[in-house]
Amino acid sequence: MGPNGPIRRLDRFFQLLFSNIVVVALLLMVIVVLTLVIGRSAFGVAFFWGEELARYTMIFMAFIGGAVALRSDQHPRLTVFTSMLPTGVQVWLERFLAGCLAVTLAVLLWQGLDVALHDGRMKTPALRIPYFWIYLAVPLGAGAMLLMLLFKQFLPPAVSVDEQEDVKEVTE
Amino acid sequence: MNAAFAWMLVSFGFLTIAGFPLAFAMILACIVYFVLAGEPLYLVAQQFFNGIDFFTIMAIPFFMLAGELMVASGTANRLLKFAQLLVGRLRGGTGYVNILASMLFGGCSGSSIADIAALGRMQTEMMTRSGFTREFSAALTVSTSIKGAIIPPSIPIVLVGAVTGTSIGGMLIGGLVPGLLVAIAMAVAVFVTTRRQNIERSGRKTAREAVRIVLASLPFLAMPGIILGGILSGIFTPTEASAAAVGWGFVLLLAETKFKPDPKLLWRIFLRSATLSAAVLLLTGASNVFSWVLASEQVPALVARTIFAITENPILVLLIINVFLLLWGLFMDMLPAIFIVLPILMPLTGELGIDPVHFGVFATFNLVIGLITPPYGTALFTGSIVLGIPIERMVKHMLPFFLAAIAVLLLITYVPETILFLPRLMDLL
Amino acid sequence: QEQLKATWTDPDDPTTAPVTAYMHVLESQVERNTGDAYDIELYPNGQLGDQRAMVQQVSRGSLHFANIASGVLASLGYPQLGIVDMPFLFKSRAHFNASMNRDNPFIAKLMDDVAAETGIRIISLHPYGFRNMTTKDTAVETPEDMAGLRMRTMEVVPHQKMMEALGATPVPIPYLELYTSLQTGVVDGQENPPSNIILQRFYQVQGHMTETQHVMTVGAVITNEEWWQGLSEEDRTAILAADAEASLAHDGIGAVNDLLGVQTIRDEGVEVHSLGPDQLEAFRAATIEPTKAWAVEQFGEEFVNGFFEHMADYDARF
Ligand code: NA
Ligand code: NA
Repeated sequence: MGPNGPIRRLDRFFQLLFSNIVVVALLLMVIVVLTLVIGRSAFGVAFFWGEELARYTMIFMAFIGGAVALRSDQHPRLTVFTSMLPTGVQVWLERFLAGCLAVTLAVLLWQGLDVALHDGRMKTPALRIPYFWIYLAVPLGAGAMLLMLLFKQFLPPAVSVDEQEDVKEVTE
Repeated sequence: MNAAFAWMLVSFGFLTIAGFPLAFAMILACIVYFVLAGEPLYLVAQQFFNGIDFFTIMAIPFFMLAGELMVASGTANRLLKFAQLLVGRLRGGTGYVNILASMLFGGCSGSSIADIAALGRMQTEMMTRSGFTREFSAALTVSTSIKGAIIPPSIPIVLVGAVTGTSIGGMLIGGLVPGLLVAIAMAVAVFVTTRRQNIERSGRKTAREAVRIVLASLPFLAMPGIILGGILSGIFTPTEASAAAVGWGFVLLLAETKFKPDPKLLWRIFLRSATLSAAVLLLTGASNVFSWVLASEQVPALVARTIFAITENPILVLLIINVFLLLWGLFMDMLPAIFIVLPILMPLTGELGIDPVHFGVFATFNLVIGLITPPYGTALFTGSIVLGIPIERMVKHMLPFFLAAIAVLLLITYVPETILFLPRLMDLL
Repeated sequence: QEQLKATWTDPDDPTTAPVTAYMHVLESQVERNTGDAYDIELYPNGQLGDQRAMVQQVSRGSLHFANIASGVLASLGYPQLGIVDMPFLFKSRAHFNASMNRDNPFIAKLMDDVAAETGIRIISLHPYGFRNMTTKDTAVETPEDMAGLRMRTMEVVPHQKMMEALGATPVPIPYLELYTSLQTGVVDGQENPPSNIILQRFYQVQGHMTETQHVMTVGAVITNEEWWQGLSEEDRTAILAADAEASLAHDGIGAVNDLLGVQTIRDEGVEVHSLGPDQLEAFRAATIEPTKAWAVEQFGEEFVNGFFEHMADYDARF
C-alpha cells in the first residue's frame, strides 16, 4: 500500500466525493432559503416547495456528512476516561469499538433500507416525490459511514476538516 | 424497570465512557433495547430520520457557517480593536477588552468553541503583554467564551428549542440579557481579582485612528442587528435569519477579499460547517430514538414523580434541577444533556407553572457553564489546546469567573423577568 | 389478555381534546365489550412519534390504534384520500358524519381499497374541526378581502390552490415558527381550527378571525389490516361498537370546544366575523373550480366525479 496504492486512491476518491456532496448540499440549502426570503419579502412570491427541498437536502447533508465526520474523527465523544488507560488497552478498545460501530452502521443500513422500501410509497406533501428517495439518505449514509470506517482502520484521512489554518491572526 | 431497559442504560453508559461516538452510543443502546424488548428494529432508522426532519434545525448548519465566514473575514481582529478602543484605557483594561470582545463576537457566533478558536490566542497574547499572567489570561479567555453560546445567535438554544418544542425565537432573544449579565459579572470578577496588580493600560488612540476602528468594525457589529432586527421586523423567521446571517457573512468576506475570495478557503469553510453540523444533526436524530424509548418506558413521568416526592416547592425543585445539571456539566458533555435530560425535565414546567422559555434559557445556560468546568469541559479542552496551557494551571484561576457564572445562573433562575423581559417586550411569548 | 397500543398527538385531557376523548372511551369500551380480553395502553402527546411515524408503526403492526389527520392521511400511499383536503365539502360535523360514515357504500369501498393497497385499515373518519382564517389587520368578509394577503398554509396543494384562487399568496411557514411569523408580519394571516389558534396563542398576534370553515380537518383512526382481518368476527364487532361509542365522545367534545374556543378567541380581543350562507357560497364559488381541476388531474375524473355524486346525496339534507 504505497502512497498512491489503489486502496489509498479509492479512499481519497470517496473522501472527496462525500466532501463535495456535503459542500454542494450546504450551498444549495443557503441558496434555497435565501431565495425563499428574498422572493417573499421583495417580490411577494412564495415557492411552496422550497422549504421541503432545503430540508431534504439537509437530511442528505447530515447522513453523508456523518461519513466525512467519521473519517476525520469529528463525531462528539468522550475521550477523557480512555486517555487514562495504558496505550495497549486503548488500541484494543478502539478495535472493539470499531467493531461495535460496524454493527451499529450495518443495522442502520439494513433497517434504513427496510424503511425506504416499506414506507417509501407515501409522497411528500409539497414536492410530491415518494419518501423512498428521501428515506434513502439513511442507508446511503450508513453505507458511506461503513466505507469510511473501513478505510479509517488502515489510512489517515486525506481531506482535513481542521480549522486552525483558517483563523486570521492579529497583525499588530 | 425491565431488563431490556436496564441493559440499554448499561450499554449506553459503557459505550459513552469507553469513548464511543455519542450519537452511535445512543443508537446501539437503543438497538440493544429493541432486540431485548422485542420491539421492531426499523424504529431505529425511522426515529433517527424523523429526529432531524424539521426545518427549524437548519439554523444549526447556517449559524455555524455564518460564524466561519465571519472569522475568515477578520471579525475577531476588528472586534478586538473596537473593544480596546472602548475599555482598553481602564486599569487592567485588557481584561475588560477580553470580556467585551467575547461579548461582541458572541453576537456573531453561536458557540463557545468558535469564540475561543477565533479570539483566544489574540486575547491571551494581548493580556499577557500588558502584565497579566498567561494562566490568568487563559482562564479569563476560556471563561468569557460561555457568552458566545448564550447571546443570540446560539446553537445550544436552537437545539433545546428543536428537541423540546419551545419557541426558538423567544429563547434566542431571551438569552441576550443573561449574556450581558455574564459580561458584567465577569468584569466584576476581573476587577476584584486584579485591582492590586499593576497592569498596563492600552496606548491612547488618536481621533482619526478611533474613527477608523469604529468604521471598520461597524459591518461586524451589524450582524446581531441583522439577525434580531430581521426577525423582529417580520422580514424573516428565526430559521431564515440564520440563512440571512450566512448571506451577510458572505458579503463581508467579499468586501474583505475585494471580491476575490479564495475558492479553496470557501470550500474548506463549507466542508467544515457541513461536517460539524452533520455530526450535531446525527446526534439530534439519535436522541430522538433514545427519547422514543424513554417515552415508551414512561421515564419523564417517573422523573417528575421522583422530584415531586422530594419537594413540591418550586424554588427547591428549580434548585434541585440546577444542582443536577451543574453536576452533569462537571462530568458530561452538554449535548447529551440537551438531547436526553432536557426533554425529560421540560414537562415539569407545566406543573411548576414556569414559562418554558424561561426554563429553556436558564437550563441551557447551566449546561453551558459545564463547558468550562473540570474535569470534563469542551471549552476548557479547546482553550488548553489553542492556548497551549495545561488545564490544571488554568483552572486554578477560574474560580472567580465560575462563581460569577453561578451568581448569574441563580439570578436568572429566580428572577424570570431577566430572561422573559425582552421576549415579552417584543411579544414573542 | 392481549396488550394493544393506541397513540395520538393531542395532550391527555379528554374534556378539551376530541381525539383524547375518543381514545379514552375506546379503551374502556373495548375492554368492556370483550370482557377484558384486551388491555389498551394509551400513549397521548405523540409519545411514540409523529403522525407519519404512527402510520409506519401501524403498517408494521407494532401499533394497533392511531389517529392521524388530513395532511398525513393524504400521503398514506393512497393519493385519492387527498380529496378530503378540498375546500367547502362539508357544512357541519353532522354533514361530515353522514357522508363519511363507513356504513356508506362509497366510503366503505374507499376504506377497503385503502386497506388492500396500503395494508392500513381506516376504522373511522372523524370531523376534527373546521379551519378558520385569521388575519392581523384585514377584516375578511368577502373573497375580495383576501386579495394580496400573505397567508400561511400547510404544504397541502389544494389549500394553496384555494388561497391562490382567493387572490392571496400561500406561504409555507413551519408550524413551530408560525407564531413569530404572525407576530412580526412575515405573513398576514393563517388558517387553523379554533383549538390550535388557542393552543398556539395566535389570538395574541391576530386581530380578526373569519368563520370561513373552509376545510374540515379530518381525523382517521387507523389499524393494521392484517391484524384486523386476523381478529374473530366477535372481536371486530366489539371494537367497531366501541369505536361508534367513542366517536360520539370525539364529535361532542369537538363541537363543544369549537364553540367555547370561538368565544375564548373573541374574549381575547379578536374580532370574529361570522359568515351567512350567501357569503360562504361566494368563497365556495371562488375556489371550487381550481381545486376541483387539481383533483381531477391528480386523482382521475372517474374518482372525483364519483365522490361528488356521492356527496350530492347529502346536499339537500345539510
Ligand atoms: Na452567540
Ligand atoms: Na464540565
